[in-house]
Amino acid sequence: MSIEVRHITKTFNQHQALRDVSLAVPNGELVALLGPSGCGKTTLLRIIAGLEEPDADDSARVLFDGQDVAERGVGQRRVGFVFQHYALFRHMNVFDNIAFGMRVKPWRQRPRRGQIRDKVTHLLELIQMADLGRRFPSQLSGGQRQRVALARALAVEPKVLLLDEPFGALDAKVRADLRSWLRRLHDELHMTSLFVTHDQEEALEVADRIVVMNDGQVEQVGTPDQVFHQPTNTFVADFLGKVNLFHARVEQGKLVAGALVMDAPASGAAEGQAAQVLVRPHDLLVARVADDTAALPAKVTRVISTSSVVRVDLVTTDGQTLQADLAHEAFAPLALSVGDAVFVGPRRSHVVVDDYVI
Amino acid sequence: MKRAGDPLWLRVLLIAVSTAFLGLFVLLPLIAVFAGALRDGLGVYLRALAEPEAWSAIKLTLLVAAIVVPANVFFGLAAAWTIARFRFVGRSLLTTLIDLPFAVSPVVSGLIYVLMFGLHGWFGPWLSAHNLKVIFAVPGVVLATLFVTFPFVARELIPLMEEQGSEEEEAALVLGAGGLRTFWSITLPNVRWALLYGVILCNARAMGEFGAVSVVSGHIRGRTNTLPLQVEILYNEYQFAAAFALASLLSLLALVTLVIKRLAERKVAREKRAGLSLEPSLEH
Repeated sequence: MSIEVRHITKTFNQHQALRDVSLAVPNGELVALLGPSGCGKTTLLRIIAGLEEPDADDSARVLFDGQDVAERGVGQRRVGFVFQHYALFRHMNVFDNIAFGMRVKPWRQRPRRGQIRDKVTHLLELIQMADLGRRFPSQLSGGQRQRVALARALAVEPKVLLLDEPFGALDAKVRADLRSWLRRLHDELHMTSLFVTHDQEEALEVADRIVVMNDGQVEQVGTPDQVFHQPTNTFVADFLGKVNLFHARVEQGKLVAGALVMDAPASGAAEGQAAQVLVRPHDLLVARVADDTAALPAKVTRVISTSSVVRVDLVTTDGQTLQADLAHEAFAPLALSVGDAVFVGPRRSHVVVDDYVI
Repeated sequence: MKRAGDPLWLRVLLIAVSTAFLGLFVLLPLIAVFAGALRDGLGVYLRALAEPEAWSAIKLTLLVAAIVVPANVFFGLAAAWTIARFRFVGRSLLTTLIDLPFAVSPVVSGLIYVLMFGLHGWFGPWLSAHNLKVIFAVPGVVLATLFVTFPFVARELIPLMEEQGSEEEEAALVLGAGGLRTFWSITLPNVRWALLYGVILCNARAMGEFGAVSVVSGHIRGRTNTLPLQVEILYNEYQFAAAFALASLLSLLALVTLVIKRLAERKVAREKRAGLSLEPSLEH
């Protein structure tokens, strides 16, 4: 089932959590709502679920498969919702937690006792907890609770799955496991899923599509590749990973940022216009001798070589800090150490002409 | 817990002092109540309880508790729900108001009702015109007791419900449960022990209340005397054995209350712990 929201605004005590947000989630996709805390992503998720109402506005709409669901209460929308802290029913065991949604159905639609048992058993197997049905939530680990919460949501066969910071409260190892498990589960079930996260790595790894939000608005919607490599503004670029930022100006068809002179983008910014040149650390070239690309003088302040790439922190003569990630093979001949004078420049860059102010 | 710094003599002294104090001022009087009640033999004791006036006092006390406790469970749940679940103007004022009966002297609580429903009170003329009696009648006793015991249930529930939050209820709603179903299968079970704890305290106070009830009851024998009032009357008339016999009933109630309270307290602590361990944990 596809989800669409149009012109949603939500105000809490004069604070605008969402400002005229419109968004479409195609059927069967796994979409991440990504943004810093307080950007309104959870509010948007809760509005889709029906747990919050948007501010009254004639143009505000929440549509499931093109149909307005404003009249449908939270229980009638057939969404599966996984809460940030799981919200498992603490006085029920795992089995009863998962069965709850089926047991509260109106008498006519309620599955028979045996059917409920079969379904719960099946779901327990799906979450790899077949033997733990009689445990109480307080007896489970964080990862197990998370999976029970997911099974409970799936038990009512929702059309849409909504997850609020599904891995936020777990440690790194469990989080990585659950992430790939969720991705596999989605590939099996093909249920339209929307999850909220503030972790860009999680969004990039799991989602088909990422919605980057900031301050109550959608900054960019795109595939992980698009938002990572072609951010539409510096906020998106900065939020999706470390980026080196050069403030440039268009002069005679070239982008000029201090000693760096680069080709202006094909789209062509007007003469004299300001632009931001974004360079990911792995695209920043470091050389001992200046050349056309590596033209900006800088000094090495730190070298960390204990990862799959060598991270080199630098500072320019104007005091701007930069980061370059070099492959070990590229680093070896340079043999950089702290204090060395070098030249840097972008091997590849992405230019945005925007009004975003840092 | 043993601490390194405290010498043995100090520990022994402290334990001895507190034990002696409790024994002298709490345990001994309690024993005295039962001893006084049974001083003239079991026959006298039972006859004292079977007196029509005594029997009427027992029935009235039970009746008052039977009305007040359910009413306060209802109001307490409603107030706790309102305060724990919603943010509204006047919320902190409401929280403070719930504590008012604790802060005010019971005598004043009784006088409030005399002022409102008494013959010369605000509603007095209207009530007497319709031949309704509140003050110096059973309704007054019920009202005064209701007022004095209101905080017990609400006060127990508010902190627990605030701590538990409303996520579980929201989860139930999303899963398709209606409001009533959510209340019965999620909200109530989550606070059941705290509720029981509040009910027990509320009940003990409802049966034992003296001050407020004394003002509004009028001490009409066999009609508006509750147990505590009857005890006082008997005592003032030098019928010590009868007075102690009724007092022993109240003491028994106190003992039972303490036992259940102890059990409920333990369960409430467990409820809170279960809640805490449901917070994000980092262990696998």
